[in-house]
Amino acid sequence: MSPDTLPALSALSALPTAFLFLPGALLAAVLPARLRPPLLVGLPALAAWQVWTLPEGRLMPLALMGLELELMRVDRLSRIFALIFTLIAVLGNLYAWHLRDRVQQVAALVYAGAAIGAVFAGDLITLFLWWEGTAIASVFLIWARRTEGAFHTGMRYLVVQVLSGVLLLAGAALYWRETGSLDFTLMRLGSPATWLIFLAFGIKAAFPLLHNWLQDAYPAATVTGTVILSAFTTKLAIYALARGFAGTEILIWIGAVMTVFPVFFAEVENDMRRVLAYSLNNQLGFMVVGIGIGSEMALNGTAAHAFAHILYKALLFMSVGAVLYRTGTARATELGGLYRTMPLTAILAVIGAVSISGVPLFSGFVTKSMVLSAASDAHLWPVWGALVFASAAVLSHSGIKIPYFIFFAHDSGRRPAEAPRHMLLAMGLTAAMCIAIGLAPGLLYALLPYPVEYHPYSGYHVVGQMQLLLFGVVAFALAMRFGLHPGEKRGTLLDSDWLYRRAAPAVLGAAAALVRAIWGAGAAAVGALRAAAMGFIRARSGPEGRLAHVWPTGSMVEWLAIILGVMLVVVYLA
Amino acid sequence: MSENLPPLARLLGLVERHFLKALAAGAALALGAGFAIDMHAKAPLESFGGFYALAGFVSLSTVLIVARLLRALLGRQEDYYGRSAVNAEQYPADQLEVRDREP
Repeated sequence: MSPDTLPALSALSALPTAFLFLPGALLAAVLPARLRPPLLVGLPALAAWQVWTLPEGRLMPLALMGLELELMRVDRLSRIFALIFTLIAVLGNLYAWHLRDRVQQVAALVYAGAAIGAVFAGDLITLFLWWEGTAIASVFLIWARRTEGAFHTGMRYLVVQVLSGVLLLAGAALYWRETGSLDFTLMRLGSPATWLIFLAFGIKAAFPLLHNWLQDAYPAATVTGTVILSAFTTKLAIYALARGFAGTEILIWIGAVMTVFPVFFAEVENDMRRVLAYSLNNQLGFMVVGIGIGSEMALNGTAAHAFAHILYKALLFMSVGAVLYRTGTARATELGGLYRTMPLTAILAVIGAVSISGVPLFSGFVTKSMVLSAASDAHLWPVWGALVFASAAVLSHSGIKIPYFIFFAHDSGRRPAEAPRHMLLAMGLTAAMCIAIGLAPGLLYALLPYPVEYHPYSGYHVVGQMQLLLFGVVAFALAMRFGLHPGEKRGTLLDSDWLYRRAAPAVLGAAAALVRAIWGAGAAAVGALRAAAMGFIRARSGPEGRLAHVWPTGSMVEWLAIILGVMLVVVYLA
Repeated sequence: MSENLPPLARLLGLVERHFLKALAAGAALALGAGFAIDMHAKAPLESFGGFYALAGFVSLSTVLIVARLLRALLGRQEDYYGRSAVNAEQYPADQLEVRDREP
């Protein structure tokens, strides 16, 4: 069906996609509870149709206060990101069908709309406005947990996200001054303007040491909120990097570090939603490496991997969320053996796990391998080695740990009911897409920014990947057998958030104490001096001082007589 | 103890019990295939038929060893950031539908 067939749908193409979501959010704010879930699923589905049918080009230029803005720059790169954003909004909101929390429902629509608006932004100002829109809308998915901990986590998250936006705005202003243009296109890293913009993107992309807002915030959100959060912010940053900094070499190394360091944290983390947040960080690394390499193959790999990743990561967050929803906990130490009563959720989680691990016939295999191939084509052997290591390591936490410690391993004795039907439906559809991409990668490849000449299902590739994964599982099984696995343990792992949650307050507290001490000593010294001066003055001029004495009239006459007598003697002698 | 489990759960239980045997067979098959076919090596060492098997085993082992050290170095109590921090609190029960399977 083309847009010309129905006038109402045709009119849709004249509206920026994000502007579908904002009136929808307003409507959600006033609709009765039972009508909101259909709106939350239907509206993104409508948007997906619009994104699919939009022609390419700069569709909505806007002159505002002398600035040339572009609300809808549609090309193959923006379309694939917008498309997956709309699809995941459908699936995420279907998963949240039971929800009656108006705050979360409105926030979910605004957040999705803002992310899609940012993807279609053709200039830096439009990008900034939607960029901040994602920050402000998404924090409500954390605050909606309505606990003190979630409130503080949300505040930290908001500060970091808004800081990213402020840096983007500052960079955009400098860029405009430098080049006379606000066009959001490929930039060369070098000037303060481009560094600021790069840093802004890097915060949202969770670059190393700028990453911990992600692991801090995502496990703090609501069951359904985390699913929504996992899709948009970081992948928007990946899109922005691909658009603005493709081929920037430093990204290769940043991405390589991103693939490696989170895997160790994920291995010992107890909160399964935080495990997935670390895993998300690791997957972003593959995409960042692809952007840094910048070849057509690498950028295709990044876009494809972002698409597949959004699906399987959402599926994993959904399955852990379903367990949390039914048991009240996502801690590995309190779970185990749940396949007995949640077999469907277990199977769906396994599909997410094998997809992220890159098992042939599932989505991760046909997308991640494009980035690895791009790295080997470019003879970047240390980076390629890091990616191979990270590919095996992903298996450890997302491929094995998530399904094994929740659904298998030791029997926790819990017998929760299966996940609600709408959750199973959302997970089933997401899993079906993971399998469809794995079985027919051409469907996804056809949407990529550049023509694809890549065949993932070569014999050597399949065999190599199966060796990597199966022997990884062998290592895991042996570690479990001989008690070498770190096991699950309750606790908190220190990460870079320690710097602003503990170190910075401690340093500021010490500085404040020092200033207080100096101020106190100074004030005491001044007080002592003042007291001494007052004592001196009081001694002289106070009520008891000599100068304040009341002299009797008789003594005056006496002194007058003495003076006159002295004068008489002086005159007589003179 | 026999439980009245759904058929799908019984099937998963069967998979769990025989998983290690299947794993061993699959690993042996993949390793053999690596030596039997041309691996189209681009990277150094990739031409060795068991390269990826070795990479998988060593990578996982490294992750597990380093992770143990990491926990010893950076692990703290659950309430390290306070009793009201998210890590130490329970998820609000009124937002969940905690329910056991009906027998």
